[in-house]
Amino acid sequence: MTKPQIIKAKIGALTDEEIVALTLKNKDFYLHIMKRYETKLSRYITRIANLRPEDSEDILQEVFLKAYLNLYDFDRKLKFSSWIYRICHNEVISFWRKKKPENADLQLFENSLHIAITSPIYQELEIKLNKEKIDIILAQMPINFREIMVLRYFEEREYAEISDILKIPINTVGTLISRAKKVFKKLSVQNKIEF
Amino acid sequence: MKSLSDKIFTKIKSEKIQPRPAWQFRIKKLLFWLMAVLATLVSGLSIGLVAHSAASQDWTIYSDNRFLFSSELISDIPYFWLLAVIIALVIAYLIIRQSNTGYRYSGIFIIVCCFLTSLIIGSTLFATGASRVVDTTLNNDFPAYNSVNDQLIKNWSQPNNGYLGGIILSQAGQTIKLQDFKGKVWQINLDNLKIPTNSKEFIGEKVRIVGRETDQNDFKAQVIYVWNNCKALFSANACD
Repeated sequence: MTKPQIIKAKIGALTDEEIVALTLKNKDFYLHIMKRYETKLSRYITRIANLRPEDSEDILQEVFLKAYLNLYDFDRKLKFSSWIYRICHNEVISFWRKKKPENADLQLFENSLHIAITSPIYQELEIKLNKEKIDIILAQMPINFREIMVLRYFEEREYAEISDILKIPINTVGTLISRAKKVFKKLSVQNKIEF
Repeated sequence: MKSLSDKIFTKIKSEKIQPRPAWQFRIKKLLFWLMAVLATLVSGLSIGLVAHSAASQDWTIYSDNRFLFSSELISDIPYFWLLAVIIALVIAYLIIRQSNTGYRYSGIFIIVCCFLTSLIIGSTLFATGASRVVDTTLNNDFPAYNSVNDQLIKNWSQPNNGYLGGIILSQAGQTIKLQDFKGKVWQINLDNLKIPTNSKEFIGEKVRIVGRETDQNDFKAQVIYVWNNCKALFSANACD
């Protein structure tokens, strides 16, 4: 193993929170944080916001810069992943309100197809579920329901993490998921889609 | 091809971007919590003033059938302080809800906690007499402020409705002279009322009279109370 490979392996064994602590001493470590989250957050943004790839990239850049600027504000009681997902959620909502995309459904569908090819996690899900059918229904759901479904079933986040990301009580997470499922079921009936 | 992470990292390095210093966040959090504490204190103070207002109200007048459900009763409710309680509680709720961990609790739980805290603060201020001091201070420093005392004076300046307040100037037989709060001097007829042997000691006393206006400067008393409590100085039967 070469020296850079050894360093990479050592950093790979560190938790996010440990890398954040190191970043505060040496900014070079922040690159490792970004590498860890680039794909995950990119996928998350695309899933919930129906945006063009350029817009998604702009949001992601803003997320990483904001996270970096506010590193001292990171609350160690939270998981770093919850914190950065929260920043991402806020950025997406802010972008969504300012510039709601046109032809959202079509874009989501196209983006999803792109992700399906590139994302191993998505491919795994594809085995379990019919991806295209899910996308059609998700695209018709209100953004709050869509986001909670994505966090729970695509990002596979725990209730406590979703509570931290969306800044809502855990009980509300359960209620929202339950409502989102009902909306999902209703839309699947309306669209005559069976699973 | 450079990944997005690499591009951002290059930007951070080339533009020498630094994380915001920790002290900025500490001050922000401190100010945040100070505002929450302040809002709760204002809510507590308002509750204390509502309690002071309720305790200082003239409940004898409200028990009178002529007064019940009248516009005066409605106007005596301390709307300003009740509104202040609600606004301060909403502000405290919003601040706590926006805090790092406030979102974990339900809205009702946060509101109930803030209200209970305010209730404890308000009760303490009322019990220690601080509410009365605040009411008096506000009345002295802000002419527009309608203190509890102002309200009482307003209530007892309605001779046409049978409520008259003022200071006893003199007493002779079945008549006393009374100067009301506007400076007008009244002849108060005490017919059918018991005259205590020490009635001369009441001269200079601030009183409330329930009765009937019989002429421009004449008033027939049914009962005369001391200003600050329901001790009857002249009545058919003493109330205490």
